Formats: sequence, C-alpha cells, structure tokens
Amino acid sequence: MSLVSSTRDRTSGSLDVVTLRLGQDTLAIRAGLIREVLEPVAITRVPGAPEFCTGLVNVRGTVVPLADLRVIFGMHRGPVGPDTRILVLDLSMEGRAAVVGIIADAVHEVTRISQDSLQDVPAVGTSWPAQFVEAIANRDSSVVMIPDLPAIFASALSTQATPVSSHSGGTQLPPHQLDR
Amino acid sequence: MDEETLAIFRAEADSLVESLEGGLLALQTRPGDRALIDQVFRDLHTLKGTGGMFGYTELAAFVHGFESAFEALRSGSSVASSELVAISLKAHDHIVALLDGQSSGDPDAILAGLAAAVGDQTPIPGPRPDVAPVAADIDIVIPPEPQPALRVQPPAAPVSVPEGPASAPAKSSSTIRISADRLDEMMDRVGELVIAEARLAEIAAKSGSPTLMSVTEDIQRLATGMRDATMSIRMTPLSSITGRFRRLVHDLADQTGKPIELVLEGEDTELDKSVVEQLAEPLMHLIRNAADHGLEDPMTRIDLDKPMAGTITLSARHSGAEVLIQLADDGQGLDAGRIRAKAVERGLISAEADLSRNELLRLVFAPGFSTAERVTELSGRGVGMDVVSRTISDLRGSVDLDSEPGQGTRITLRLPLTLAIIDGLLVEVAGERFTIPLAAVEEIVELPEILDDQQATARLLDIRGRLVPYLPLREVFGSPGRPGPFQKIVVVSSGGGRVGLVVDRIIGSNQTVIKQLSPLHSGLKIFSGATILGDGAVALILDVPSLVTRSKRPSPSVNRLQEAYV
Amino acid sequence: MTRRILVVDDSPSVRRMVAMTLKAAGYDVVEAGDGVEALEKVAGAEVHAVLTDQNMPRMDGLTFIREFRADASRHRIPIVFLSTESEGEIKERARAAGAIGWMVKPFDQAKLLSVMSRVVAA
Repeated sequence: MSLVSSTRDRTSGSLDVVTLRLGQDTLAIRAGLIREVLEPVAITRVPGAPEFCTGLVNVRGTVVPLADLRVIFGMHRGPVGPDTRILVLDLSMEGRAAVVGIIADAVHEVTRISQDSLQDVPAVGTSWPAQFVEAIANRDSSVVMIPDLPAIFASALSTQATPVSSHSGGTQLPPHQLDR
Repeated sequence: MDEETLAIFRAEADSLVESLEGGLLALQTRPGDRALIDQVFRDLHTLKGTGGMFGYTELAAFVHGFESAFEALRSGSSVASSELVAISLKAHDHIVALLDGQSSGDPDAILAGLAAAVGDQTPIPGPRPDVAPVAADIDIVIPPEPQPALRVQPPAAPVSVPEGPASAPAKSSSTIRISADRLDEMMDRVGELVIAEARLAEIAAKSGSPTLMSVTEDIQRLATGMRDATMSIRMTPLSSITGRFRRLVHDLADQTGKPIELVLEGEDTELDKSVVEQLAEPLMHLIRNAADHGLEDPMTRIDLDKPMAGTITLSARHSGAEVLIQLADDGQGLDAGRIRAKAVERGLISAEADLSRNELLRLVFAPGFSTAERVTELSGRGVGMDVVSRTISDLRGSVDLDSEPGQGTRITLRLPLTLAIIDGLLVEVAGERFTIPLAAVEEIVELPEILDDQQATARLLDIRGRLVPYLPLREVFGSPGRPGPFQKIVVVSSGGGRVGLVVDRIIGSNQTVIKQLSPLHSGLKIFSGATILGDGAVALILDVPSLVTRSKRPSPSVNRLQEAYV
Repeated sequence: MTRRILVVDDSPSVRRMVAMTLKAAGYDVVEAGDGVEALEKVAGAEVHAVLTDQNMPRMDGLTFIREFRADASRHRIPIVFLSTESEGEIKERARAAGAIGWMVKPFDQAKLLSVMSRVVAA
C-alpha cells in the first residue's frame, strides 16, 4: 500500500510502535499517535451507534469516542478484564484533528520495528480485511499487524453518513431535512 | 492607620518642614545654589506625597502648588529671588499651620505670589481642599511574556488603563474590544468550572458534611452567576450582521430590476456571538433566493394588484430559550406541483408518493433536490437550501417553511440562545443517564400504568384533555430489560410539536456543558451532544426537535419518502 | 512561598505604612531609604517585586531602576514606580528605565494591595 512505502521512505530504517493484544492477535500502533494509555474508565454507551464505535469516555474533560478495532477485524470480543486498556490516539477525521480512544485487550510494550521486516498483508492466509491493514511484520516468529487507522476511520465515517437499518428499534433516523 | 505610624509621619513632617525652612533661609544668601534648590524641591515633594498618604489632603494640595514653583525654578536657569524666598517662607508657615490643623493666611494669594516670583505665566494650580491634588491613578502593564515572578491572570492580557488626560479615570461604562478567541477561552474555562462544581456537589452530597454542602452551594451560585455573566458578554445583537443585508438587497434590486424593500424587525435581539456569525451566510442565501425567485417582477405585481415594490421582512424575537428568526417575502410563493415534479425527476420520491403539501414543500431542503445548476424555472427555492438547512441544524436549530401560492413564503429559523452551556434535566433509562435540555421541558408526569404496554398501538397520552404522543426511551435506545413501576414521562416541546419521553427516573436538573459529538457520532440525530457529569461519566444530550419529529412517525408517506431517499 | 517585596522610599512613614500593609497581607518586606541602600539590600536577598519612589537622597528612583535592571537576572522582577506626579513624562521615563507601571501617591491600603496582587502572586 502506498502509505507503507511512503512511510518507509520517510523514516530511516525503523518504526517506533506500541504493541498491544486484540483477541488472539498482536497489533502495533505508531508511538507518535498515542497520547496516553488509560485504565478502563466508565464507558457511556451510545444507542444506535455503529458497532465499531458504541462508546464515549471522558479523557481529562474531553468527550472522546471509543472505537473497537476488534469489530473491524472480526476478532473475538472478550469482556473488560484486568489487562484491558484504552489507548487515546491523536488522529485526523474529515480533515480535522480528532482524539479517539481504542480498546486493547492488553498493552505490551513500546518497541521498534525495522522497516525491512514490514510486508504487505498477504492476499490469503489471514482473516483480516486487507484494506484495513497497513502492513504486517514478523517479530520473534510471530506476526504483528499494523492497522491502517486512517482507512478504518474513513470507512467508519462513510458508513455512518448513509444510515443503515438498525437493530434497536430504528434508532437511525433518516436525514432530518426530510424528517420535519 | 495606627497611632504609631501617624506619630512617625508627624515627626517626619516636622523634620521636613525644618529642613525646608533651613533651605529657604540659605537661599537668601546663595540664591543660585542648585543643590539648595534641589533640596527644597525634594522636601516639598516628600511632604506632598506623605501628606496625601496620611490624610492631609489640603496640605498636599497646597504643597503641590508650592512645589510647582520650585519645579519651574529647578528646570529653568533663574536664581531664587529674594521676593521668592520671602513668599516661600510665608508658604512654609502656612504648611506648619496646616500640619497643626489650623488655617492661616490666604493660600491662593501665596500660591499666586509664588508663581509670579518665578515668572511663571501659567497659573499654578490652586489648592482644592475638596479635591485630591493629583488624580489618584494607577497604571500597571504586566508584560505579556510569561514571567515566573508574576501572576499572569488568565487570560494573560496586559491590563492597562489608557494614559492621557482625556481618558484618565475611565470609570464610565465604556466599551472595550476583546478578541473573540479570549471570549471562547473564557467560555471554555467556565465550562470547566461548571464540571468541577458538579464534581464538588457530588462529593459534598456523599460526605453529608453541612459545612461542605454550604460552601458547595455558594460555589454553585457563583458558578451560575459566572456562567450567566460570561454568556451575556458573548451575546451579540443581530444588528451586527444586518448591515450587509441592506447592502445585499440594494444590489439585488439593481441586478434583478425589481424594486425591493427590506424590513428589519427585532434587530436588537441577541444571540451567542458564534451563532450570529454563522447565521450571516444562510440568511444572505435566503434573501437572495427571495429576491431572485420569490418576488415577481414589477409589471406582474401590478397586474396582480400588489404593490410594485416587493417586501422582504427579516424579523427576530425571543421565544423561551430559543430565538425565532423569520424571513418572509410577499412574492409568488412556492408551487407544490413543480416541487413534486422536480423531486420525482430527481428520484427523491416515487411518482405515486402521497405527500401532504407541507411535506412537499419541505423537499426543497433535501440534499440533491437542487444541484449546482440554478433551478430558475422553479419558483426558486432550492439553490443551496440544503446547505442552509444543514448550517442551521449544525447550530442545533431547525428550519420551517410555509408558503401560500400568490401570498409569499415564510421561512422560520429556530435557534438556541447559546451553544455552550444549558440547563439540563438528568434522567435515567435502564441504568443509563441522559440529559434533556430543560428549556424544552414542559412538564413531568407519571406514566399511567395502563399505558405501560409495549404492544400499545396508539401511543397517545391524555394530559388534561390534550393528546400527546409519547416515546418509551427504553425502546428508542434499544435498552435491555424491563422497566420497573413508576416510570415518568417528560413532556418536551419544539417548534409547536410536543412529545412525552418515557424514562425510568428523574435524577435532577444540572448545568450542562455541551460537548460536540465527534464525526463518528454526529450522524445520530437523536443526540445533540454529550456532557460530563459530576462523577466524571459522560451523558448524552437528547435532541428534542428530532425526538418530536420522530414521534410523528410512522406515517406511511414519510416512510416511503425515506426509502426513496435512502 | 512568601513573596518578598522591596520598598524604596525616603519617607519612613510611607515605608512603614506600605510595609505594615504588605506584611498584614502575607508578604515579606525589605525596606530601603534610597536607591543606594536598595541596591545594597537586593545584592544579598532575592526579591519578587519592587516598589520605588522617585525623589530620594543619594540615588533617585529612575537611576535605581536602571541600576537594578542592569543585572540580567532581575529582568523579570516587576517594578512599580511610586510617583506624586500624574503627568506622563516621569511615568514614561520610569517605564523606559524598566518599571512595569506606576502608582500615584497618595494611595490607600486597598489600592496598594490590589496593585500588588496584580504584579506578584501572593
């Protein structure tokens, strides 16, 4: 993917990341995107919101949407446990800076991945949707996946822009322009 | 001021007076001695300053005049004439008398004599015992760069009393200009304050300490006052943007060849500054539409027995916690048939859709109803009307439209007074908390048990003979479990419509700092934002207009409309 | 942390009045009768703000401000100029010399404290 090659060109040989566990998989997120890592806090459910982002949390006085990458990658969604963490990320949405939280079943370490070990996601052999994977890397004989966060959030935004039928008694309203 | 300090002053003054007398006497023999002149001046100066500090205002005023004479002597090159020394000694005696609380001689005459003796053409300011000799004044400019040793007041603005005699004691209610950013920052701070205050209230209530609770009440009162004051600072009259409307109408009249009269009503109606700013663009749009397409050309109007000049009326008024802004024209009105044809052509509705006139008119707000090309063959409204509608709904307002063929069109915008903080009613639904804007709440009643039936088909509640539709929020939110007994109905209204919202429990009212939802959730029309509660949890704020609209469904025609749209 | 204020005035009664007021409000006060004494005092002690008169023996206020500011480590210590003059010229000279502002004598205790709270954290 173009994003990977451009990142490879820009950085000299390695990538600082934070590794985390989601379901049975290990993911890596650029350390520079991470604002902070929080213990689980009170999560407010947003009725009618897409599965990918059904929660809101209070991060130091800011209301931050809480996204669940496990929904995107079809991973097992276990309950909140002692290792569960919320990673607060600085991203960009619709061209504006946005703070977003993502759930992690556990956060492992800050580490460095060598650019040489990065590969595009193979067409077969994984259950991950290729358009949401920026790259994968082999580390210590296991696979680390770097999610394509811009692609994931862009997709989430476009899904919510065209309402899909909702399970919960039709909480999704059609655009209110027609609704009045 | 204690006795001891006064005694010190008196001793100091006595020694100054003595030094003054000695200096004056020495000047008799050495009239050109600059050091002596300086000494006399300094003595007078100190006497003036300290005298004023210790309440000897008459003395200070007199010494001020005396000092001026020596100032003139000091800055000039003249010598102390024997005439000056003689009258100065008289002045000295007068000072001694004033210190003793007596009044002797004629201070005005002495001062006039002093002035004459130094050859000063400008009269020395006479003593004004009733007025402080010098304007009590302070001018401190705190340097803008952050300084560890300084308290930089947030917002870190240089505090400066303007200098110059014209503006010396700026005590009258004058106007100052403040950058909008500072106001926004202030509002943010007030928002933080309100959230912190809610936390405090929570802690105080848990503690049960009467002292803590009473302090908390004080803080709450102060925070509310602070909020109101800050909001009132941000209120801006609509007149701040109407100037450009006059200009626009003038230009439009030229362009279209139609005489147009713009009538403005309630221009002094105030709204939050950010609301007013964002209103300018949509209102210009509506005016342009009215002039371009709403108003007939002059000949047609004369044929129709209408005044030749078309009238566009922009009016604004308060209505509860909302401001209503109406833009009306006396033109040809909307042609429902043509709107229908257009909507079918655009694929917005099916050809056989059964829509009321109002539903048809509202189609002009649909995205895709008009495209970039101008739809001039239509009665006009459509060019960017979806943009107008979106802007208003982004401001948490709503748009309504009504039109009579041949009579004209009226578009009503309903806008909240402010975007930042509202009073909210906190309710609980299936263990989750939500906030309802209090301004929209009409009443709260208990849900009659007989109506608590999920299978009920007609959800109408009889409130004192008036039928009100109601929505069980548990159902709207897809909440799990069954409600307990004693559910409440919060009756809310918006735009003339009302709906009862069924909740499990009323928690209470609170100040609600509105936080915008991220783009991930902003498409959920039933929520207008979120807020942070006293315990740090996030609660969603219900969007009353959408809930009222929602209660009007399901109507088959509108359902079809949605299908066609989606 | 207690804030220490240097009060420079040749009038003992003014110094006393200012010192008493500031001490009662929780400040620490160092007094000096003129610019020379003031420079001696600040050589040995850290001060957080300075109030100075203009007309004093040995060294006047303006000269003192310039001397005080000559030491780069004191560039950020606020100096308030006490003056009996409401005219602009001396104020401007004081400001040019390095005062952050001026206060006209006579002033009362409330005004003094309000000014101090603006220039230095209590």
